[in-house]
Amino acid sequence: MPARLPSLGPLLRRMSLFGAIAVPLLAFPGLASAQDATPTIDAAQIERGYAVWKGQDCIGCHGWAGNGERIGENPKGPNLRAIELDAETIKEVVLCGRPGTQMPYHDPAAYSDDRCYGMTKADTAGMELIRGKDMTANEATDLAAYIVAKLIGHPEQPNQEECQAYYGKRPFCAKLPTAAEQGY
Amino acid sequence: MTRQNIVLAGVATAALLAGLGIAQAADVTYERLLNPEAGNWLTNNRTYDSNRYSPLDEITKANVGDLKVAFTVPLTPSSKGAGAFWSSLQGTPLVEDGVMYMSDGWGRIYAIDLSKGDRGLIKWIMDPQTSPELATGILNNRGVALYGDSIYSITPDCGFLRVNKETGEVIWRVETQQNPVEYCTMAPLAIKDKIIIGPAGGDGPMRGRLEARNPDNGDVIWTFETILDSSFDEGGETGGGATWVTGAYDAEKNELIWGIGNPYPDWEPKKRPGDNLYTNSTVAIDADTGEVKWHFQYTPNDSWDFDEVGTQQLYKANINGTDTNVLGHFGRNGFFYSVDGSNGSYLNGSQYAEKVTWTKGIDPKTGKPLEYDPAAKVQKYLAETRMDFDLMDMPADFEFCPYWEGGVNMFPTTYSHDTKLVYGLLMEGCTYNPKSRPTDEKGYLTGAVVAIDTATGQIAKRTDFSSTGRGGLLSTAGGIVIGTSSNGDIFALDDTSLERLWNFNVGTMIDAPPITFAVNGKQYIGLAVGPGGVGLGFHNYPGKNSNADEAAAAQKFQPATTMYFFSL
Repeated sequence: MPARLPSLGPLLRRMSLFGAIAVPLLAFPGLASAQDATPTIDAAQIERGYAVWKGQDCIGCHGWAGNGERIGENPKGPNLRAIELDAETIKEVVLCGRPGTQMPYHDPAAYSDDRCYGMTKADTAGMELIRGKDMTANEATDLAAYIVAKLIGHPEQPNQEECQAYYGKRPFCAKLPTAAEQGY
Repeated sequence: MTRQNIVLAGVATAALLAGLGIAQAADVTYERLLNPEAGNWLTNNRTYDSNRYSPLDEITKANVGDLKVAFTVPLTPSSKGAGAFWSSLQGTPLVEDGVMYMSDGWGRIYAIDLSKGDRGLIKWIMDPQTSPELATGILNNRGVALYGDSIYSITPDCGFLRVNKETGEVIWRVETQQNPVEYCTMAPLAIKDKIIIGPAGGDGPMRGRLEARNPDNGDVIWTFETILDSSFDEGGETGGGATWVTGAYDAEKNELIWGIGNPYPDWEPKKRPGDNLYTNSTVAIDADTGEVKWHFQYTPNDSWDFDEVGTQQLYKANINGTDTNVLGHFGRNGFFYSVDGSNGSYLNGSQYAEKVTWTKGIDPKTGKPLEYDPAAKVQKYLAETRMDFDLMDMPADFEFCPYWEGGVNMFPTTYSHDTKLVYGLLMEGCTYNPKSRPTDEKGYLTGAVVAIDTATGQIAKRTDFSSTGRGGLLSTAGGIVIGTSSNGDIFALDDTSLERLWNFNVGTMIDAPPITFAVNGKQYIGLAVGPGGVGLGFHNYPGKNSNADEAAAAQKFQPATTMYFFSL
């Protein structure tokens, strides 16, 4: 997997808002991965992130495999297997949503102050702003770790093992290629 | 526990209950389903003809104004599944001999003892423990089926269940999901020696079907595939044709009369050249074999999500001097259709929604849209209203009418045996890009009840109201029609004048149809209040209507889950 550069826009904005002192207080796995050639992500964290992925409201729009194959009447979400975002940016988008789109925010206090993109509720007037299921910052960190480790850069079509991990032994999983066939 | 012990325990329980003066529920036989007792509501549409007409007449035009809440029973609070939809109460509860069987969006079943008259006591709750990550679809289970000594239901992830009616224990569970896009919401239909089920999810890349299954073990007896390959030039990912609402059963002819959902992809007809049978159709199916006897398609090569899963009304009407078995159906596309129940040919009909812009009308001979060209692979209809893009790419100034949820959606209609009118509960308005819905009157979504003369197919009467028609209708021998709307009103109408005789507001949106039944000789109206299911936040629905205060309050509706019971 190629090393991914973090999107610095939100980080720079945050740094200018809070000053350099805020930086050490925030976890920057994305930044770390850019500096470290072999980033290690804690397996337990990925497992926790998978639980968040399954129990939250992600898969309606992004599909159970995160490849953008929405379920039913949900809006069509982007294929997360093809995005190029680092963990910190993903966490921010999860917690703050994307005002003006159907991507919901999951931090119950988002836009109550300027924690999200420096914007308050008033700044989002006239923009679509959807509230998703509530999520803690730790859950968002774990979720972002899962997305980076298990979705980004993976083939658009999920494999049998991924399907069985999600659905158990449902017959439809057998129609997918195996991980070995995909070169894993 | 061995089977014998179960039987013995059942006998002992029955004796105990009899000693306490509580009637033990008898088996729900096919004969009882054919001729249900007046006080009971034993199958989804009350009777196989889907009439939702009750012979109960204690509540009348003269006294319905005195109707009051007798008691309420809250169910498990609503929550969201993985598909980001709030679970809702959209089901039709069943009542057998003083016990109600109601399902919720998660596929739980509640048995509620109504025999006290002044309260409902939950006897048991069957929770299938549906994992949130498998609850990927809209969580709006539409009810259960009673057959023999058991209850049959399907879970959001399409587990087909047989449940002990007395205890709520799951006797068996059979997995029926064939594709991750499928989810299940239909109330199964029990006919003689068969339970009919089918999947929802036709707004995704799946192919619909109906399955007849063995009530003893859940095995498949036959499968009817709703997608006719020869009617789709492109194979692969196209299809749809989900079956998410309970159909009718013509017992005399042993035919299931079923409504089939929209084609997929919903909005891009060029991706599926052809009429796309049997989507947006009513099909008559041999109940023994699953073979199609006839079909009638309402909107060939659809581009507006005009599912036709809604109520399939079966009744006799005098059409041009001949007593005819009629299928009466309010199309989601804005038109009412009378179809010959013996062969599927079009008899008569009319435009019941005021705003219809996708066609200039229906051909009086064929019942097809006037612009329909049987030789064309992709229909044109009225080009300026024709969708040809994904929903997310809708141009800002695009619009079509009726609203994409209807017209009359799947919310049940009713046929009164007394007035010979068939009543539809509808939404009146148009579809706009959600980002540019007009804020003035043009953008309103309102509602109405329309009564259609079953002989002529023409509108006999119509009454309008400020918010959309959601929930459903029933009619009774007391001369009333009970209905509901999205502003939280449950109301009683005079079945002839459609004058509103009674109204009660529950303070949040209603999604479920009312029923009526009698316990200890007293008539009740039962209603589930549990909005949810549409869009990421149902709070945004219905958006604008013609009453500014109501429209503002609707933005703050809360996801209640309460059973209401009304009586005189």
